[in-house]
Amino acid sequence: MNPYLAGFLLGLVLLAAFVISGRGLGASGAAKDLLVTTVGSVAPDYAEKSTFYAEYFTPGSPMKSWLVFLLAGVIVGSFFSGAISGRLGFKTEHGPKITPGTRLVFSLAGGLLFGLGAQFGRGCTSGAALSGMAVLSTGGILTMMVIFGTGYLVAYFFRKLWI
Amino acid sequence: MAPFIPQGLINPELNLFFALILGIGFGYVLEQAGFSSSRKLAGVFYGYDFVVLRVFFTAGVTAMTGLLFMSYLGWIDMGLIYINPTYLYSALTGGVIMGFGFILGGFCPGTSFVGAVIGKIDAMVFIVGMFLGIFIFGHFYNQFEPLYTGSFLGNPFIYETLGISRAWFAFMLVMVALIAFAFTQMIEDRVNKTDARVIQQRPSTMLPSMLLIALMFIYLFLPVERPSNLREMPPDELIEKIHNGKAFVSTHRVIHQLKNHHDKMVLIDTRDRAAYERFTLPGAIHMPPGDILARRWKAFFKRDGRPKVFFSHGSDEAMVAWMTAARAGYDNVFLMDGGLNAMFEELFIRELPDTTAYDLQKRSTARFLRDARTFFLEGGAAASTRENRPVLIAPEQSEVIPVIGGC
Amino acid sequence: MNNQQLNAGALIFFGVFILPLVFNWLTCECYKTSNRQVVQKISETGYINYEELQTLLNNNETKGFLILDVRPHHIYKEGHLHGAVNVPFTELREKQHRKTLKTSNPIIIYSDEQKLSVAAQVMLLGQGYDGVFVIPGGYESIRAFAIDNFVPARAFYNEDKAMFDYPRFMKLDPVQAERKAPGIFAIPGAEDITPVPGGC
Repeated sequence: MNPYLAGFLLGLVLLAAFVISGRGLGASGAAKDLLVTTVGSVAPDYAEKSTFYAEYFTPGSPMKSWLVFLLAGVIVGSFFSGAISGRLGFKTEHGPKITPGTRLVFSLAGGLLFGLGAQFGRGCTSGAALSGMAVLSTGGILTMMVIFGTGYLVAYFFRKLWI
Repeated sequence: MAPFIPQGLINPELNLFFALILGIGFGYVLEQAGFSSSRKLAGVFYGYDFVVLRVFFTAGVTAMTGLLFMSYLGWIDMGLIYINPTYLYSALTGGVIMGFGFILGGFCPGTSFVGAVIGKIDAMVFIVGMFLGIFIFGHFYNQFEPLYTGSFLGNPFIYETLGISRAWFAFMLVMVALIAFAFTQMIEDRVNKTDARVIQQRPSTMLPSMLLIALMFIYLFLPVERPSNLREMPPDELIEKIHNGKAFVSTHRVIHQLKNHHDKMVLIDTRDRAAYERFTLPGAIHMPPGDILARRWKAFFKRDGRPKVFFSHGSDEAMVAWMTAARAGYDNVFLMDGGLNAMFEELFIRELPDTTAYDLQKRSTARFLRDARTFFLEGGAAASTRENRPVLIAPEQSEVIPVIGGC
Repeated sequence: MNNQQLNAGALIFFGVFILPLVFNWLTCECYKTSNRQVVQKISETGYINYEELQTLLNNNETKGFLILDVRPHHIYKEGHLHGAVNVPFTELREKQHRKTLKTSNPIIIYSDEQKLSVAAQVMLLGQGYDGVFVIPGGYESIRAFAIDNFVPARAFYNEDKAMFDYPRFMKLDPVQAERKAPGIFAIPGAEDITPVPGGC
């Protein structure tokens, strides 16, 4: 799809989220809700010790949160899109100079960092950066600039991963 | 108007359903844009594919423009919208960590889910990593907490932080985005050594860019606040209501309410704070003219069905208050004719009219005033306030109804 | 890369916001100043007291001001301040007076009742005029204490000042009297900013 058209449509979805629910889109929040629920049910003794898991013990299951449902929609929507465009299929994408194994190791590391960073930034590229930019929030735009700024600063050192 | 669910226009139970629908749109667009591929995503840092930047900025600018205009046209109440809070150092730390994560992992949380769904194994591993990362954060939460909740700056807007007007910031953001689009296209073509013919055949994005610039240009010249909107009462109607006296409530009616402990009208004191604290009519609430348009009173004006009566010493401040409230489209508002001065003069100063007058109406008025004078001089107002505390018909406990599961 | 959908989308997006703007501009020529700004301006301008009025009228050099009589025509004809222009309250928005009002600054309003002058003032500020003042009191009292013979004691006369010591007449419940500012923040759930949960 034309990236500008895709962006325009994404903008309309974001606008609709603001108009209907008064909030932007987000992805990492759902991951947090999922984790909190899992840890809370598997190891309640452990969860009780940290205020981070307090949400699990307050009434209203975090699994019924807005973001979890949004994520469920994302899964449905992207599967649908992948299916009609014929992009379904197991595959590991990696740069020409690395093996799939290396790629998976770095993918795990990247995911770990992103999961950690999204907690500090109170949102990921969609929750903080994109939605923050739409409402012109200082925090959101700051986070966005730092994410991409850091990316560009360190891109040179990790170039073997991608090109 | 919007946002529908915080305003209570749509059943909050449906919020999750809409989340699902929005999510489907979100996921579909992300996948269609090619965000399921980590190579494509990482391309933004190496110049071979700028699709992330294009989609991201177009989406941000579209939503921003939409919000700005909807807010100007009064279609959306920006006060009810979630504005990301700013925790300075936490945001900086998070941004740096996420920057590294992006380069290493090649995904961001949203796109990793999209990739995993269509079968990208690296995306699935990324998600596992992400859960680990959140778990680590949770494990060391007590250590991280000072950083996480420190340096809180509130929910500022970027244009406030920079000290420029909203319209100018939005205009510049749009211009920067458009320039970035053109510039990155050039870089991408150079890095990929794109054939000149392909570049020439590329369809023009002139029209959307021009429309966007036009929108922002118009926004630049709009006044900060729309001078009038369709919900407001037309000025001729205001003039008419004052002219034929429909705006006024007589002092007698107010006296009647106070004396009989009725709670049929809400009395609103529009004088300054000092005067209000020194004395006010029993049961009156305080609301200077400058406060009337504040959001916290909106629900009161809209939902409390009783007549609302403004009063001041004379009638001036009450008149300003009445005109503001009536113009804002609040129904059932009045002002006390003559204010406290006229009321007290009639109650306590002026010679009592003849209670034996032949005219029935005059006689009953005279009796009414005589009884009221005795009543208030004997401290009846005190009893009235004790027994009849002002009970405002409060709006619902919270406008945003927390979503609590029913199973 | 097909651009037709994008172009169409952009045009619709543009139209959705521009058409209501144009429509609003064409149909609703009601107010020139927003409600919020009027309230703010009122607190800045307000009254012109009798002393200032004296100075203004006696100084031949000041020009451009307008004394506006907002009483009905027949009352105006019975007697009015020297140089006052008659625009009845109900005719404030009529086109024939617009030129007079536009070319004058400040505009000084009086009438029989102070509240009517204030109403006219709010109305004119809402119509986009600046520097609109009110002479306190009605025509008779202005005539008597400011024009015919200036009484310094009455220079700061204003109907909207407290004329009595109210608590002396109407005793209130001491609890109520001491309670500072009840009502203001007493509405639960109606705070200025409603917290919206969000973020991730």
